Amino acid sequence: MIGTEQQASDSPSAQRVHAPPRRVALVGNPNVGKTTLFNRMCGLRAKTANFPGSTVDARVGTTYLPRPSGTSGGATAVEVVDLPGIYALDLDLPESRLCRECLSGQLAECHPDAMIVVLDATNLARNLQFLVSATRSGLPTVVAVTMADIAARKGLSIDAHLLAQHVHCPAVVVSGRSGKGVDRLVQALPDAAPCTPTLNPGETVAMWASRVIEESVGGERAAGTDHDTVTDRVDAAFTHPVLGTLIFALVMSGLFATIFSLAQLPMVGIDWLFEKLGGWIAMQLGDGALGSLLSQGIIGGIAGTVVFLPQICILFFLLSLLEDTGYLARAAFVMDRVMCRFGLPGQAFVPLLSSHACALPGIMSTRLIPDRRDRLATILVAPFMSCSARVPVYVLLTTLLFRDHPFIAGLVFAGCYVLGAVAAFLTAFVLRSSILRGRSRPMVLELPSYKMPSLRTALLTTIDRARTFLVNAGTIIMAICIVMWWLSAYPKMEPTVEAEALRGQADALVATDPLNAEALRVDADHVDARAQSAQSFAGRIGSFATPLFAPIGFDRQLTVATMTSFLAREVFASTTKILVGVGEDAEGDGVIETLANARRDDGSPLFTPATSASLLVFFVLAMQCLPTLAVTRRESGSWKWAALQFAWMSGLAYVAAFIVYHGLGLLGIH
Amino acid sequence: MPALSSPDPASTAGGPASLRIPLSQLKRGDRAIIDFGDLDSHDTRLLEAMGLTDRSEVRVCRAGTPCIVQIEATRLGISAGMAAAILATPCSCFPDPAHACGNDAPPDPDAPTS
Repeated sequence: MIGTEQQASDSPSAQRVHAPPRRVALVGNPNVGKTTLFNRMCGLRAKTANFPGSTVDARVGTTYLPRPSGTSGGATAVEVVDLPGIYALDLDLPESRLCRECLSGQLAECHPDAMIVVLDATNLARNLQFLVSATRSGLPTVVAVTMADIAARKGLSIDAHLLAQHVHCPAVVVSGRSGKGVDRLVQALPDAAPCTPTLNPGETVAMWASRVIEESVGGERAAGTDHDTVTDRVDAAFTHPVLGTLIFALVMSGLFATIFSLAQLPMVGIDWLFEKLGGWIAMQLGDGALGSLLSQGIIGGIAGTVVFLPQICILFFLLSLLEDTGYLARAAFVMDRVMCRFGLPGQAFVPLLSSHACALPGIMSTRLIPDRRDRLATILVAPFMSCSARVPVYVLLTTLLFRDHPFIAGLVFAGCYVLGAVAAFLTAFVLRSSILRGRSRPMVLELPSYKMPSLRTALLTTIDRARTFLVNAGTIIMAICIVMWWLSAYPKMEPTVEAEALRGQADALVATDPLNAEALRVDADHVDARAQSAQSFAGRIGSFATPLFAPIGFDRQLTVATMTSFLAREVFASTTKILVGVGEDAEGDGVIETLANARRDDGSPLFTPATSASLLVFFVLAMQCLPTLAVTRRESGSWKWAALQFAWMSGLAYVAAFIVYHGLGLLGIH
Repeated sequence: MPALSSPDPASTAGGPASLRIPLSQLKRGDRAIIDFGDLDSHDTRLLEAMGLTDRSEVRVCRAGTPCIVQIEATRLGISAGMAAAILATPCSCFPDPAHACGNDAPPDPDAPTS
């Protein structure tokens, strides 16, 4: 009985849903293994869904219910909605609201016919009370008990039959990690029945839960009240004010150094692949408009973004592993000491951490913060946190700055994250000391048990993120690339006098000195390319705005690339490559090589150390994301906060880039 | 929840009023009975849903601010502001700690008697 998979059902047969449900909601407390179970049930057949009217995401996937023996047809598809983990349905929080509205059928496109309530076997007292509140929806239910293996190690036994008798609906012991019991859980779905916990007269839900535990687990005192000395000792280190902060810094540095080391090889591979593809298309289609559009506009532009896919994948894979171990919650605890000093609530850690993936979900998750001033402060500073869209720019510029020193590049890369976080905290302090003065609402955070991370969950999370990134690259970024190609390729220029003169010299030398002749032809092509770039629509726009950006080391090309990346930061690399690559030989070089050799209109190097450093600081701090401003407006309820965010971030970025550019100049670094 | 062994007229169910101290002032390893005091309804409901109910017994895993407390199988990290607002009566302050805080509460020979 201990820790074994069991299924039990004791619900009245009249109430059961013998027809298989078409859509099942997966609900439960946070950290109960709900998403691991969802991943086991649905695997790759899942995607992130945004329900209309809700700002909280949920994952939707499909699992298959085998036909009963003796019937014809194949497996029956059942849609599974992985709702966010919540502590109670009646809390005034966006996650609770989403679950409440979904289970009650009020949310469009989320009408489950049944639900699976996931209970943590090591924390049944609290989880059973959640079950009682969830059953008030009246939905047919199957109870899934997870973490039975950990409970077994603590000497706890889960009797699913007795549990089912108490809750009057099927109960199954499952393990999302190993997959044990998941088939039984799916097969139990047609037997789902409304749970009807029977409370004795005068008995509270807490008392009922204690009684159920005593009868089906083996006594309330067994349910985790004893000391867990290992967790105590590990927590003592991880949550220590000094040691914990040091460990946090080491973990984050290790994370980013790993990303840099592991991503190099696949980046080279992707770069090579796109280069060959672009070259092949150019060969097949020639130098005409279509060939140029495909090889330079689309392939070149997409390559400039997709080349950073390895970093994105490794980042989310490692973050998922860290989260799964239970360490990230300890990191939040350690960070609370820091955050409260800057007037940010502890709850702001989650939105700020989410903003490292993307500021949009980060800002939307500030709804977790009940106090309006706290929320506004968090919304305004969230875009300072380095999102995944900045990763390509960071990689590009740190690589250009330290091409032969990958370790230093890794440290500078990590430093970008630190700079963004410091700017966020200082801005929060300024806001909370001025226009948003007031007391912070305190934080309460569950510290889950330490666990071995699930590779499967990390892989599926990574695939989901990579898919989102690629869809973005294939739609918005590709559209921007096409527009940028057109702006930089038209109007077409006639060959310049200077280039024609160089070609004439080349023709004269071709018989006697073919090497010099070829070099003169290349120079002529570059002269034409720079003239084309300067006179194109993009060049004219850039020329108009260049005086504004010249004090921070940007030329016309960088000005255009910076302005267009206001739509989406990650297109910076692609745009720059298109701008500097126009007119170059069809074979072309890799992204990094092309940019490292790029020249300004006056022939001087484009990416000098001072310019690269200035650009890097500018991109760490600037509000280069139109969708973020739109979400800030929506979440804050006013354009004035979005305008303040844009003005503050852009101003700070400009001033910081100016200081870096001229500071390096004073040190003799140009 | 266990009841106090000998109700003190000057006390509430969270423990003798004069012996209640902020949660942030408990030491590591202390066991105490919680009193939500003046916490607002949102914070109270959230804590209850997370397993920390009024009058429940906690064990302090990390003292100070912020602090970590354990309630049955749940460990909660509580920020400085909230830890200062939650009151707690150390089990050692009860006339009969074993009865007030459960059988595994540490006996305290110096506990005051009433």
